[in-house]
Amino acid sequence: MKISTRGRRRNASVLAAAGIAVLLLVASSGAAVGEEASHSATAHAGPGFAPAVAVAGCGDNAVTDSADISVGRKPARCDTDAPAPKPLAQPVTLTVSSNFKLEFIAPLLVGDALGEFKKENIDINLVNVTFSDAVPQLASGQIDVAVGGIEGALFNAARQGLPVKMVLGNYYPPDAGKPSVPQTGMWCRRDAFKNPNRPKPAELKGKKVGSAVGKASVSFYYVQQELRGKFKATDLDIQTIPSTDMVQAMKNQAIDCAILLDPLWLQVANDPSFVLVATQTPGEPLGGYFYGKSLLKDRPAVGRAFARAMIRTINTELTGNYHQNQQTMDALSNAINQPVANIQRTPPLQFDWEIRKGTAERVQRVFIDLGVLTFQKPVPENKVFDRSFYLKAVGKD
Amino acid sequence: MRETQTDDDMALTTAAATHGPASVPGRAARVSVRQPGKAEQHPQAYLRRRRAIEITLAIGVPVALLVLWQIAASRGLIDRRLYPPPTDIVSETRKQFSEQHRWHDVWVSSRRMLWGYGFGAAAGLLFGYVMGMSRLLRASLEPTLNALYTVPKLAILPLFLLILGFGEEPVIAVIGVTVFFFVWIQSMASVMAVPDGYREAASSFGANRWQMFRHVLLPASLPQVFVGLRVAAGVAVLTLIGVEFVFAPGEAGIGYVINQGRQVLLPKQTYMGIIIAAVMGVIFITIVKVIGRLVAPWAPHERAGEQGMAR
Repeated sequence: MKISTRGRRRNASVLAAAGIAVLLLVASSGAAVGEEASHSATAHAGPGFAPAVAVAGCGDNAVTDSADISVGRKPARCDTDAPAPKPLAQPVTLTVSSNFKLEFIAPLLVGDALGEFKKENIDINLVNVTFSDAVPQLASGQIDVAVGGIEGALFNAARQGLPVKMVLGNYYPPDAGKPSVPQTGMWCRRDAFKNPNRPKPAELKGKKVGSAVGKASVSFYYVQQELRGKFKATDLDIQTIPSTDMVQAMKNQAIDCAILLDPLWLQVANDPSFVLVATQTPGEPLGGYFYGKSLLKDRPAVGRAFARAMIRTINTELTGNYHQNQQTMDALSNAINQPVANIQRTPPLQFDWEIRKGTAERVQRVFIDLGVLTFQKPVPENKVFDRSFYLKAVGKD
Repeated sequence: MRETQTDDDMALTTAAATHGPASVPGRAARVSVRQPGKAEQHPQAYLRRRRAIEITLAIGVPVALLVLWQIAASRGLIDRRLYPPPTDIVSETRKQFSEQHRWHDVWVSSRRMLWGYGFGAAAGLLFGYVMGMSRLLRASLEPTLNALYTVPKLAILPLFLLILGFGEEPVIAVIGVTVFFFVWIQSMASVMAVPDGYREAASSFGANRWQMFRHVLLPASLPQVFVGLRVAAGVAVLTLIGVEFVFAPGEAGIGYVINQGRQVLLPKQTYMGIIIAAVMGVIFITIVKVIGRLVAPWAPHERAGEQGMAR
């Protein structure tokens, strides 16, 4: 086959243009991390090589025992306004995905509204994408950060070697582990039990349970954890039902129980016909913020800056009873387009940037039992979690 | 067919004599001399060749795309973990059908689709014909139905869940309602499009309302009605998959399989489901098309034009 000289020339020009474009891209990404570049090099040396650099305002309380999931445990905290910002040399826009604009992503929304990301020279571009759809985009670098749960998509991504890891936890309900306090969890109709006044978990076997995402919901992990020894999640007949129709489905007796998240459980909280059977596991975030190729591999310094802004927002705006903090409430109310009074109907969440030890394996075991995951050996924790970003931000890595 | 053009004054005279008043004396005109082409000289051979080319293209284009996809994935041009090549999807399909009872999902989805389509098409035909024949009914129902037509049908799923419960019924109802509008609009339009001359001829023979419907409107409109039924068959598959994404009783159905693959990042399962849905759609549309040919054999079909030309 002959290739004309003109064709060769055109090919050469295309190659040259592509080369220049690649060089420009590399140069611009290098410039974007700017000041952080040297810091990033230290981080690449890995744990054990780079000594932890103390961060002002983040003392012993900035890190907790990651195995502790006791009821009422205190999450890690630094002082207000800590850790201090270290702005990137060049402004960076991060595409962050979330399928919800609700209170549980308050660190992101409030941090953005009150300028905590700006202090790091970061702009947030929030896009509405479900976590399962965001995972491939994280892996390909089209989305920088995703809000999501510790779900099947994460484990399958890790098993396939895709660069997607959870780097920050999100929250746990303050009364998790106390079924006597109405909250997010598995609610059942009392009349589904032999003795409606004393529902026995063992009777859940074979009961129809509604879940918005079917078996793939991490809620079945905490249901099994909370009621361990009494029944297994595989004993349930799990039905996929749109979340807003869940309460009606229970009232119509189409299902016996339902996973009711904030604020859906408020509809049954004061109704004696329903009982809270299992809550989220105490002290254990079951979701968080996930990085993909762009921040895990290409621009880790930007990832650290994002983590710093999130942690600073939690320490400054979202600690204790932040529902009484006018500035925080105004920012959150505007961001989620809900009146402050609505937000205050549910208790303030316990935001927790740390990731608990063992969560990944325990969740996978339940998913494997339920058939959501088709492999048998859980993916190791270090393939799905990366604690280095928050540890570095608080000076503990 | 070949066409030769000349600017010859002599030919102009001949053309003017032959083809009527197209020419103006004293001005040069263009004359078209048509000579028979291959299609006219060897019609059967021409048709066979055309058919062979069409079949080759119909099969060749998708095969070429699949081969390109396979090469791109095998060579690492696209990430095969996210965009698995066709061979991976085929082996996954084999595995899932033997180990995970996917026939059950196909059966459940087909059943939902057939019930929904059946109800929707029957109601659509009834309303279409009755409204097409009655100006008064059209005036009273058309605005309301037009308003309902524009409502996204998935948005009324919660309403059906509330009314019909959480079984198969709401899924069938959403498919039925969606199909209804496509069939109703096409049927009504087809009846109204029957030429007045047909009706007048029947009236002059004293045909009553039923005879008018049975012997004039039905046969004249059926070909177009079946076009609507074919379009609705495709829409039924689309709706089915959409509904099963959100609500799949018994955790079964092809839409559920696709969505589950999406939720837990099993791209091979997702692609498998998409292909099954496409195949279901093709089979269903073909069945409706074949029924259409049997019920209305006088309807022109795709190759009629060609055959006429060849003749």
